Amino acid sequence: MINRRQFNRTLGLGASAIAMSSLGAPAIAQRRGGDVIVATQAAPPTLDAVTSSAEASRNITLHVFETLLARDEAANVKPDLAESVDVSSDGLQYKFTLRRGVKFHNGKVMTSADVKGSLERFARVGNSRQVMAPVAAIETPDSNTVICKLSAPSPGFLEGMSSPRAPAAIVPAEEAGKAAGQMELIGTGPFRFVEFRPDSHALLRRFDDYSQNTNYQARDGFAGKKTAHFDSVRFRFMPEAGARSAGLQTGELHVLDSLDALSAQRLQSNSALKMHQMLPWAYQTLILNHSQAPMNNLKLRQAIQAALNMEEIMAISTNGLFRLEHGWQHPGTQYFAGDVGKPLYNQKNAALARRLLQESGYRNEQLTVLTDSNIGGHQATGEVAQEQLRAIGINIRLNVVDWPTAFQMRTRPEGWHIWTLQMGIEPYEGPYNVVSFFAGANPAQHARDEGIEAANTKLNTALQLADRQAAVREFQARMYDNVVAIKCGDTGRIQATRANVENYRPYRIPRMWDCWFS
Amino acid sequence: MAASPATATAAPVGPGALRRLIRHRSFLIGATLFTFVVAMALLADWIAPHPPNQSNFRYRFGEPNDIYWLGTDRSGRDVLSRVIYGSQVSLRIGLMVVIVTAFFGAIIGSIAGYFRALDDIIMRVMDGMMAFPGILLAIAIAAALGPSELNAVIALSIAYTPRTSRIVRASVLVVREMEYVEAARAIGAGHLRILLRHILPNSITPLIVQMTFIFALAILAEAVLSFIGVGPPPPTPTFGNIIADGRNYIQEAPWISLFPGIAIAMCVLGLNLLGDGLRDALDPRMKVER
Amino acid sequence: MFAFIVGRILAAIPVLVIVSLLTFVIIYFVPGDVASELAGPTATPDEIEQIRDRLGLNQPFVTRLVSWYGALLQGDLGHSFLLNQTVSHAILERLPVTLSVTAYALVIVLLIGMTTGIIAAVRANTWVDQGMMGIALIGLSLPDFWLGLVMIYVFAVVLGWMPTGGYVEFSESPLGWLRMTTMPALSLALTQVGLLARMTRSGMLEVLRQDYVRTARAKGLPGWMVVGKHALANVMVQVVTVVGVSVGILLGGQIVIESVFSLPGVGRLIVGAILRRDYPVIQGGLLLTATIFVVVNLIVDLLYAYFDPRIRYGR
Repeated sequence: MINRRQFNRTLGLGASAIAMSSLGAPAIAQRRGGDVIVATQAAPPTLDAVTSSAEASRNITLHVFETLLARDEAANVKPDLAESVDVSSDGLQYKFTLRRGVKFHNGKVMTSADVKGSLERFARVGNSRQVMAPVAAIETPDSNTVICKLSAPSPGFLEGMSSPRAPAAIVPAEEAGKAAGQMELIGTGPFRFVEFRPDSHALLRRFDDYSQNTNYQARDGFAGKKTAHFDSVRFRFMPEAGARSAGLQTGELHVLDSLDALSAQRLQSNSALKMHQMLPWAYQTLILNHSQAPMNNLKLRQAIQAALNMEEIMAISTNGLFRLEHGWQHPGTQYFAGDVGKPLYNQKNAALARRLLQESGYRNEQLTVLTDSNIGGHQATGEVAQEQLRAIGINIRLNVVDWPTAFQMRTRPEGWHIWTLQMGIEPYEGPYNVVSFFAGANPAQHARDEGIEAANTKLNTALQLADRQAAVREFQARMYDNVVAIKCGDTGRIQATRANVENYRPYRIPRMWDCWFS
Repeated sequence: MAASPATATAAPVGPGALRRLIRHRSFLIGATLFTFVVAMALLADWIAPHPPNQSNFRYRFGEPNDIYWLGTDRSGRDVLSRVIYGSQVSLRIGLMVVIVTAFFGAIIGSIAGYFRALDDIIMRVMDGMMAFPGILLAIAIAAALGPSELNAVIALSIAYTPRTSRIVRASVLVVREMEYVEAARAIGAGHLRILLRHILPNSITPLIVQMTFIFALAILAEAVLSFIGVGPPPPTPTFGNIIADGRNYIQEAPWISLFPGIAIAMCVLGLNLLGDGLRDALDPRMKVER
Repeated sequence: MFAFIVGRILAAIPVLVIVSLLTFVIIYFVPGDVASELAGPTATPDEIEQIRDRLGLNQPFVTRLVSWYGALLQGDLGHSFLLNQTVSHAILERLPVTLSVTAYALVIVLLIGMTTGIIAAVRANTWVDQGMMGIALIGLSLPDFWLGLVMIYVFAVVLGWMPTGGYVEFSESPLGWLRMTTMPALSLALTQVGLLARMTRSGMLEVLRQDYVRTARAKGLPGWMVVGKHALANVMVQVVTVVGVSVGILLGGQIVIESVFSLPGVGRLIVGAILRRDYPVIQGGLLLTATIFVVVNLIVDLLYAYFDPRIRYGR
């Protein structure tokens, strides 16, 4: 059973103490003003926050919109627009108490009606709408209280509600009724929306009536006390990596959402720039298709697992910014499963691989590695894995297509055997979307795996954290023992700024609050 | 669509033409450049110092040195070897496109030029196809068919066949009025016979010249297709793919993109010079039409 | 002349019909699926199927063709799957970028190409001529996107003279626009400069060898007057022809150049749409580019007839 009190405390009043101890308010002179230019590698498909899980959208929308709950610096759930959450002991009722006097960019004060409308919109057009599936009713007993009633317990509910993936943005009720992509971009965030030119830029301005969350001392992940210093933030969409890094060097750009590890190495000695490295950012995987011969043969999958040299794969695909890590949850997080499966990770044992291959009765059937040329590291991962598997005697070819094609091809059970996929936001969110990717009616491996199913059910129903942690351990054990999919390692991300951007701290997006020009 | 400058009549290919060719300076330079690239492609198996897809994870983004003359790329593959094998793929695509466009251009152009009833409709379709910038049409078709070497050939052939058709048609229009064609018609020769025996051979000169230019265009266009990811899929070495491999590392490892670009320039320059020479030698009256 | 103009305009109509048909057919066969992209990684096949239904992707070829033409005749290019915009809006929004850079490139082509060609013709068969024509030919042989990459490296990174990419509207800051578009326009223009220089030179030479020019020279008229008055007018026919061809090549070249220089134009829209399977945008982009090209060539044809009267009476 969830201890309601304890839960309430962690999510409510205790937050400020945590924020203070982990971050400490910097004693540097803060300066207001300036127009900061952020270059991002991709252009957002839309700025309607709930509808898109694209990182490019998130980069911008999380400056404009806020959520009831948000993730802190360590990805834990914290209140943001909510003052607190009370969870009933049966896990069926979530009572959100709203912060008072929070203003939207149109000057209106947020009420429970806005929240109800926004959550309904999240359930209707949200990219993460499955979070709302267990919600049977949303009630608003007064203008400051919202109650979500669930039809069945959903231990991952608050994780889902607080995820920045396709955030459950709180918007004015009159906008909430509008269809996807049709609403005015009005939120409660520290910056307000000004202009969006597709493929060119988006412009935000500081919202001077921003209602800071005074329960905190400082910024904390996507929660905390946010202070906007810049007058405006301009996001420029620049697909060419060379142009981005050159623009940072010349000072045309102030912040990059991502800088190649090789460029970072070269620019390290440049005192006009600062590099901010995050590791882990995502992990690289090889998704295996179990649905047909010879991949339905465990021995063959074990041969593949035994053969791979992860250091080589990761070094090449990340240009050196990686960490060898077997876990399907990040170390240091609540659900990290310890050494489970570790002996089977990165074996680089060609002799064992050949023996397993022989035992499997493999008859030189051709395997296809499906990969794409659009998403960083996918293609190189495919190329190196192909070379390594060829070396132990597997007849293997690479099929490089573009990302949408690869994405569609992998939904079919035939035509591919191994698919390269980087998972970033899912492990950041926690275990739910990682485990469910391999479970349910359409498991990524195209074959129902009872072990994974059991772990997924337990994860989504157990009310005790310890039971859910056990479920993740069982999941991870099964991933390795049955070679459901293969994790190659953790990849990192480098965000970069000009040296005159003070107090910047890297995170899932380049946050333009609580930093300023010196 | 574009009003074509007067395309000339054919001059029979004779010994005089050959002599003019050999004395033609730009033809000689062009032939030398192009032969160099062709030799590189044909001898790839013998002269490439490394297999084109062999990665060396300890020497990634390596500067040119005495083992890797043109440096290595992000997987530690030898850029020189990839350029050498890339010339094989790029030339193969160019050659196939030339053959296909010449073949269909000859058929379509002579039908349009000879059977006046069909001329209008055929040329309207060709005009419609030429209304797209060639590269845009090729990209769209290549994207529709999916990335592969064969599909790149198909896409580029569709994009450039209207050009050859127009060239052939223009010269057929002139040749069909010639006396010997009239004579053949008078003695009752069939259409097919007249077309194959009399008209086509005498319309071939401008087509040959155009073929060298299409070869050059196809090599440039293949690079664009590969660069934006609708050409032969990586890790196949093609000029465009190698440039694309290096595009994010222009500052850190400029050699990756630099050398395939130079190879393209050599190849295309060679073909252009060759085409100039051929045109001047075979038909001095012809104007530049490209 | 009037009849000629009307005739040319009428002749463009069947071309546009074929253009639109081709556009539809090509896109119909594009593999990959926008539905699974829209649905996201956790979607079920049922959800994807629903999206396909909603977008009308499950309808047969003829139904889609008919509804496409139906909308097209009302000037409706459809609605982008991914951009939350109508296709016309998406294209019109980006068109000024593409057109202004194309126009800028064309100006460069005309200025440098004609000057070079004229100088080379006047100094025919000297080292000046040969040097210029050599450079023109090399320019003609370089891939434009590669040239763009090299220019970014040299002028933006090493020398720091130019920005690395991006766009400022002309109305916002003419100087800013010039800074942002000079490198893309140059890399686009260079190939066409070579072409025009060669055409101008050969056209000039032809004229300079004509009897009346020789006579003018013999009469002692200054060289610039001979060149200016007689030769140039005749060269215009050549120039106009090249412009017609060049506009198409410049428009086509933008497709890659806009990505290389982060320009928010139609080319980048089309490439992005191809990669993301946004069919209505690909169709609209193809159709519009072709239409512009048809119109430009119509104008070229008319100009051509204006400069060379034999054309309009000959037909």
